Amino acid sequence: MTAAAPKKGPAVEPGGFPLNEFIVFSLIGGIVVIGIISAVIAGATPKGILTNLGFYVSVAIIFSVLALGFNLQWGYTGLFNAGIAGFYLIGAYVAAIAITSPAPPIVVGDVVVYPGHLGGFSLPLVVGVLLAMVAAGGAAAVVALPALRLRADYLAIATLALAVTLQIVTRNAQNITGGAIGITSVPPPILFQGTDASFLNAITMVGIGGFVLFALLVILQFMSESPWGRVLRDVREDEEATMALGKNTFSYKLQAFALGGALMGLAGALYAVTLGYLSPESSFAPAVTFSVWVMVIVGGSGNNRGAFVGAFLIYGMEWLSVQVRDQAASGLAANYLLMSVLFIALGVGALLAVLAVQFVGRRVLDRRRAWLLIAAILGAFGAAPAALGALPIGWCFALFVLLFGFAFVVDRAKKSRRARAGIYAAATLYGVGWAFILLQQLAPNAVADSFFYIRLMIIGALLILLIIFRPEGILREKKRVLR
Amino acid sequence: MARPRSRLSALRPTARFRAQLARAGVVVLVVVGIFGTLTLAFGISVLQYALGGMVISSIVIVAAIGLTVLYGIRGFANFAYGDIATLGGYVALVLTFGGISLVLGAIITFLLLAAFGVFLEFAVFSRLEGRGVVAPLVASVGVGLIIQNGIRAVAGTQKWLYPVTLGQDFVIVPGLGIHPIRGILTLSVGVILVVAAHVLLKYTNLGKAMRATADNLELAKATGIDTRRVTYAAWAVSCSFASIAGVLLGLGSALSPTVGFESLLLIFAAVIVGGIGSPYGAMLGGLLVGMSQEMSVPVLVWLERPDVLGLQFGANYKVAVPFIILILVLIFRPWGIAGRKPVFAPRAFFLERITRSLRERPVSSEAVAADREAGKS
Amino acid sequence: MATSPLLTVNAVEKAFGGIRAVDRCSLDVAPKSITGLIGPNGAGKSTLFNIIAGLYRPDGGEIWFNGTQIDGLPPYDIVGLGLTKTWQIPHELRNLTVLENVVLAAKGNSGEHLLNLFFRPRAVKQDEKQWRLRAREILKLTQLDNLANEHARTLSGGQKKLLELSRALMSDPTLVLLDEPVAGVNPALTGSLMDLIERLRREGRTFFLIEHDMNVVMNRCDRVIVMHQGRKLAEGPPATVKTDPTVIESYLGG
Repeated sequence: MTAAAPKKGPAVEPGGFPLNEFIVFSLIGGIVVIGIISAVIAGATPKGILTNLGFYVSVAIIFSVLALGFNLQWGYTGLFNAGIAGFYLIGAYVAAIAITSPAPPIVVGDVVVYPGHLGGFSLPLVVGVLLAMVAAGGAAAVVALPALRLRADYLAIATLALAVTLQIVTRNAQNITGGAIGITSVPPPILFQGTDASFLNAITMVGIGGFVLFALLVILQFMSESPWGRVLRDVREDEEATMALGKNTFSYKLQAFALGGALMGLAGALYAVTLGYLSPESSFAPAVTFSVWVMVIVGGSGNNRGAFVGAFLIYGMEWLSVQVRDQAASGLAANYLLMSVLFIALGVGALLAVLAVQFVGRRVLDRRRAWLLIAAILGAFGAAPAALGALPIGWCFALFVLLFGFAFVVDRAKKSRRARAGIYAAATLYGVGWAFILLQQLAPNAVADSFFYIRLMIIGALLILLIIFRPEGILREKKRVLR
Repeated sequence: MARPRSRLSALRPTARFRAQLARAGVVVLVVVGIFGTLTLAFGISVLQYALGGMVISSIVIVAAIGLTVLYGIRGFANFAYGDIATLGGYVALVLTFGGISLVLGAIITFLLLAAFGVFLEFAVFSRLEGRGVVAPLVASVGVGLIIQNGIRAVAGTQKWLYPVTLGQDFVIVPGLGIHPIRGILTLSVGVILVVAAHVLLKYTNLGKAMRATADNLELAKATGIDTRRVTYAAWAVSCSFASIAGVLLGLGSALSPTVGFESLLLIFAAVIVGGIGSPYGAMLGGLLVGMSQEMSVPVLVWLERPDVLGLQFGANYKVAVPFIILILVLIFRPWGIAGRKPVFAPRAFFLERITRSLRERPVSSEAVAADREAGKS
Repeated sequence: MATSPLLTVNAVEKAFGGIRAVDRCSLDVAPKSITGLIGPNGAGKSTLFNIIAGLYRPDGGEIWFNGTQIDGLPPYDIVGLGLTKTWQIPHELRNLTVLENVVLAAKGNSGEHLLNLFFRPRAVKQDEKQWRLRAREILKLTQLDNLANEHARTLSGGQKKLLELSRALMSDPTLVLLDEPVAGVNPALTGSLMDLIERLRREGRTFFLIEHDMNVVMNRCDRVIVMHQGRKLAEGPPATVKTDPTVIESYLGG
């Protein structure tokens, strides 16, 4: 749960070490690692862990497709769509209706237990996906006709209203959509039987998703570097001038908006198949739209690669919070004593690291020897709990690595503002960790739930910080120039 | 030299005011017309719905005034507004835990949230000045996320009730009842706040400064108005009105972390229909939006009948009615009832093409030249 | 005046709020001419150009170009018919290079249509190559070819004006509306620019230009139209207009 790397991206040095990319990728790596650890604590099998990871990758790919769609609308054309969830919903439900088998209402006595939904066409998956894209893209085109000339905030409000209206309709048009319960048995692309079924399913979905994502990235890159993409970017920069040069700017905006909508429909179809069921509540709420915004802003608007990395990062946080809540919370509660010992060791060790860096740095002039000495000190400190039997040896090793990294950052802190920021971030995380451990004892379930919501608060804070300080995003984009 | 006008003629309202009055009159006529038709068609239950609509309208009006003031002066759509209202509701709740009565708690909340609004401008939004319309919108979404999930993390997702005994509906006429707290209190608070807003805007210097800034920021700065102070005042008014709306919402149903956000679009609808930046427009818009939501219920119930449309759960669609109105207004008249058509409105070539083909009068260039020769130019 | 005019503006009016920028203005531009449009500030010249080019919709009146009625048409259709306009304040696309700016103005680049990208990739490549060559030719004419790969934001004011002209020429126009084409351009460059315009006129194009530089107007224009307070005040050969008392009064008094 603790990580020493700062979350905010520091300034980029031109042509230097890609620090921002490094941080983002290590964060993603950290998320995966911690997720795996949580699963291990909860006692999952290797296949189970891989299935879980497969789920993370599949859904992250789905969010990437959403982000790519939004990037096309906003990053390339400047159309701020606050109704992403609406097109997502259309795609998901159209695909589900197309590929499911008949689902009549289930009535028990006089009570309608399940209202049934439109469907029973049992079409193949590819047809369902194509229908979803056409439906969502068509809806986007229809919305665009009157809405595209609106100012950005009006467009946002209008699209948000549309998305919420779609949610309401979906929830209430029970015979068509299955109402609040939703559509429950969406068939997977290949029906596996047996104990390994969910594992094989996960692998298939990752494969399909990965292929789709790769193809999309290639196609989108090709389109954006074409003359068509050039006009789109010009429309974003100066619509009047582009219009005066003879381009039908409305037609371009319409195309971009409709294509973006079709991509969101594609994501919806993938979602229906990955999850196996659809419900109109949480999956299509405005919060989904806001998360996609963060993904694209983190990656840098207009930057496709950034959009999908952003998606992996932001959804990674959500996945991780679910993992920790479901799996590790109980593990944490059981290991209260161990966690406390770990944190105490962290605190003392951090102090030790600071002292070590100060003294050793001053006494020993040879850098390499100095660092070896520090490593030795911290190593001894880290090994002590293992020797005493207070902490498992794996944790001790992790402790040592964390402390050594911390010492490194402390050493940099005198000269580098980023390092100081890193220390503040680490201190904050440390305090938060203690708060969790204490809270866990006072209210065992509150922590797990709180963590879930704190993740959303972090997304909100990210949104604010990014838009104020780095609206161009964290990842750099290669500029293309016409020769 | 023109003939000097008599003193009385100076009292005549200006042309623009007359136009606005005419527009408001049209709206009122439309509302009364719909009212009358529905009562004739569906009976006295219509008046019950109307009363319910008035109650909802009061909450929406209070919220909309706050939002429109901020929108007009600061120039962006505050997507955190609903969550700020929720925050107000919860703060008042916490105060009641401390033994303070709800009324006193509401007043304290009013002041606390005003300070919170100033803090938001100082900490976040002042850094986004001049960055266009999208940046502060996105930042406000972030603020809203933090507030809403902070409330969830601290207070949980369950619903909370104010420690007020609710009592029974007060019956006016058989078939027409109003709840003392949910109905009468809400209406009264709404009226009080509307009057307060009116007094503030019309009769105080600060109010005049606020109206001037909302109308034309550059001109206000040029005439020496301290727009910084006006901005902070706008945030204070906005968030404090939001907090009262939150308390009223909590009284009306129950307090949950999403109670404000669920009403956000409704409030936006009221603001846009009424015209951004115009508090009086917000009042009209809130009335229209609230009433249309409630008054659509009998129509929707009628649509549920299998011989008409067989619509399931028709009444649940009532919340979609204001959204439809909002979308229609955005398409055809984005500046709302009280707004003015911007001089450089973007051309809607698509709509123009349709209207042009509808009234095409072919004119030949020879005819034009002939006209010119005849000296008609 | 034997030939019919290329451009006919008939009783065009446009008001912004309470201000009548163009007040029932009527004028003609003859084909293959260099016609000047002058008048004091606020006479409505740029507004009229924007209306002709389709950026504003006139409140009344008609505009005829080459036999087609163009008032109310969107700008992209008007460019397609052969009428382009340059901007008084250059609207260069800052993040593109000079070459990209000019290539953008090409009429009928197949790569700009989405379906062509996938179904006719060879045609797209051909077109792109051909248009880049043409753009370089035009840049050579306007003496910007050595700056072809520079970003447009690095250009000086005069160079941006040249870029405007290059873009206008790229779409092979019949009539070019030039809004102060030499404002801010040094005299030597002004001379070569007007020489270029003269040469293009001999090739068959028509130029209608707004200018405040009286040397240019008097020495280079065949006819001059004077606008004042939104309508045509006078017109004729430069010498006549220069000595017209109403014209002089409008400049001094207006």
